[in-house]
Amino acid sequence: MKMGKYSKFKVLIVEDDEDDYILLEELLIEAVGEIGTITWAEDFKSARVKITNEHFDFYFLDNRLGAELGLDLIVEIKQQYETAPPIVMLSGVDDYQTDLEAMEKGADDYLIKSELTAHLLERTFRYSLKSKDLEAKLAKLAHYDGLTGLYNRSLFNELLVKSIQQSERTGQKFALVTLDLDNFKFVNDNYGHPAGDQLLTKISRRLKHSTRSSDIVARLGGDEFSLLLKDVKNDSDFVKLVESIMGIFQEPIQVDSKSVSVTTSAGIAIFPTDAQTASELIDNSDRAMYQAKALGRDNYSFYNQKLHQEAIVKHQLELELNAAIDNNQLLLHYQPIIHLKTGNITSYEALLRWPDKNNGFRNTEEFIEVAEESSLILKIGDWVFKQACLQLKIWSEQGITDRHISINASANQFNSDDFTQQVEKYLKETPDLAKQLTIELTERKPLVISPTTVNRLLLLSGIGFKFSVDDFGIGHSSISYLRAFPMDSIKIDKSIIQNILISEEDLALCTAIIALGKALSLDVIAEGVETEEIANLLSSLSCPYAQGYLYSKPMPL
Amino acid sequence: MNENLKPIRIHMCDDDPDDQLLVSDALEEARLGNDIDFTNNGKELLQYLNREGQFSHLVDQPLPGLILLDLNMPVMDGREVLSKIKQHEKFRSIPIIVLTTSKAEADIARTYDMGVNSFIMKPVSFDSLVDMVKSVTDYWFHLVSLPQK
Repeated sequence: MKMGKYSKFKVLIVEDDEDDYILLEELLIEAVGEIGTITWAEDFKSARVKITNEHFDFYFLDNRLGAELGLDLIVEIKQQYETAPPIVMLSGVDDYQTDLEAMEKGADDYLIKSELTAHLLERTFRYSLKSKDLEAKLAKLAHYDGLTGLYNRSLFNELLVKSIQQSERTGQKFALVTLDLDNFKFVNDNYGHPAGDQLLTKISRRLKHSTRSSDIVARLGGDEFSLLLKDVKNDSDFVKLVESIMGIFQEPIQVDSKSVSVTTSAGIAIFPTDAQTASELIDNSDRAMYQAKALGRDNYSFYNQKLHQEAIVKHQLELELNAAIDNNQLLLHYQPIIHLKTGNITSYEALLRWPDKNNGFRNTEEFIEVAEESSLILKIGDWVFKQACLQLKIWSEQGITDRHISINASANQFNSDDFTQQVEKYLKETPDLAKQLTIELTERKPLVISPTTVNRLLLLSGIGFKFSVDDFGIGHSSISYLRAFPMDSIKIDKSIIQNILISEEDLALCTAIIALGKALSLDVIAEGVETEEIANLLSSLSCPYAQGYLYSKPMPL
Repeated sequence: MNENLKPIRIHMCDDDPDDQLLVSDALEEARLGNDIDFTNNGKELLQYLNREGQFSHLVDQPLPGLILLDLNMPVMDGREVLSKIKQHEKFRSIPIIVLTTSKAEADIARTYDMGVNSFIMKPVSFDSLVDMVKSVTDYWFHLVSLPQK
């Protein structure tokens, strides 16, 4: 009977004496047979790390751990679980006080090392597990909905309060979604209650699988479900999540071998935007749900209508943008960068354009902002890079090999290895192209300067890329970019350049940045140069490069 | 002997994706650690067992230790595939549990005649499904001595 019963079991033994550990391990295997894994922690600190990072099915804690007490680990274990697995304390001496304290803290048994036998261990193991099983069953009854296996109202309310506290700490928004089935009564009346129950059970599974593991799904009673959606980057993510929840009702559900279609109405309220307390949030989410029902069922509604509209517009824009990238509808326009002394074009900045239906262009800033908030910016980044490479190849076929292109990169592209890997792969056959490319980093969405991001930049600079700080002078991190990473050029923001004739401060700033560039051997480019007067002044300040409408607006090549 | 320590793979043949979800969630909830995979009708089940077509990549994998079978399915229903499996020299030893919502007495008698090992009504609630999955695995893998293949 011993065979295989605990073959998936994970046991943690916290014991500072290696001999005692080995003895216990041997006894344990003798007592209960093969155990999946037995992990040994030899001191308080490493035990703590293991307890917080791993799950175990059974804990043995020696009480004397150098200066620390195993007793104090009990609390740490309990914190990890709703119902903690069995914890058995071990002690060298039979100390009634410690025994009591261990029980008080929640240990399941207290064993004296010198009295350990396989027989005793086997019994402790069995009894602790059995009582845990009962404890877990009781906790389950109190916290879970037996029909669907989802959280019930009481646990949901607890989790809601916890989520509010967490959100207040982290500043992260979350949404409370209230769902009410539109035609559940019809199913109950026409197919009977067991069919209705079957329907609820199946819907619950669909809900569970259409949400992420960080989301909380509960059945509050009847045909009413509530969800907490956390870990979102922005409001349009809520739309996405709610759309996927609504989507699970598209497919009919089989009850008693009959196919039944049900729809739902959903109301969404967001903390802390729409409410300051748990009950206010519940009320507002309910209100939104009734609003959705009034809209004609199979609908969802945000409590905050303005946010609703904005989120939907953004979501729509995201879908369109994604399609535009896939259908190759984006374009690059190129604006030349001029060497002020000679008037020669030294390179081009590639700027993204998205044509609209009326022969104009969509607002670049607007769609880039949406792209930055989703992962689309990564897709765009890859596309821009490849497009620029294609242009360089065209030039090279025409015999032009001394032209450079600058492309704008988002900080997000350096948060993972994806972009750098793409680039390395793409340039494998034409590595020389890298030398003709400059990556402009803006500080509007600042780059997180960490060793790993710096390494990614270094990798690219190692294969020949140059780096430039865009919009220099208006953000907060310009100087820290220069310190963190060897840049090649800086571009003075156009809001400074356009003021140098009328503002002494901006003129002084411009002069200082040019001097800074010289001191650090960086190329300096003045952006937004629109008049001869400004160009002349920049020349007299020995600014080496300029870019702007005076020379050319961004154009297709 | 050691081979037996690994929880046995369960196979479920059922055309309702919701039921597939329910059973795999119940297995997970019961922390049984059994792997489960699915087919949607009797024809697919035969292909799966024979490691043919879309299942040819499984050719080196051991056969499932237990089959949960739905009776009412399109293409080839549970009764038809059941009689085929029970006539097959290699597959006949795999225990089969019919898991269905159909209560018709005749159905039950007929499927036992065809060599089904057990006939279980699908429980409605998730909790009882978890309990059922626990009992089924306990019964088949701890109490019953299965023939060695």
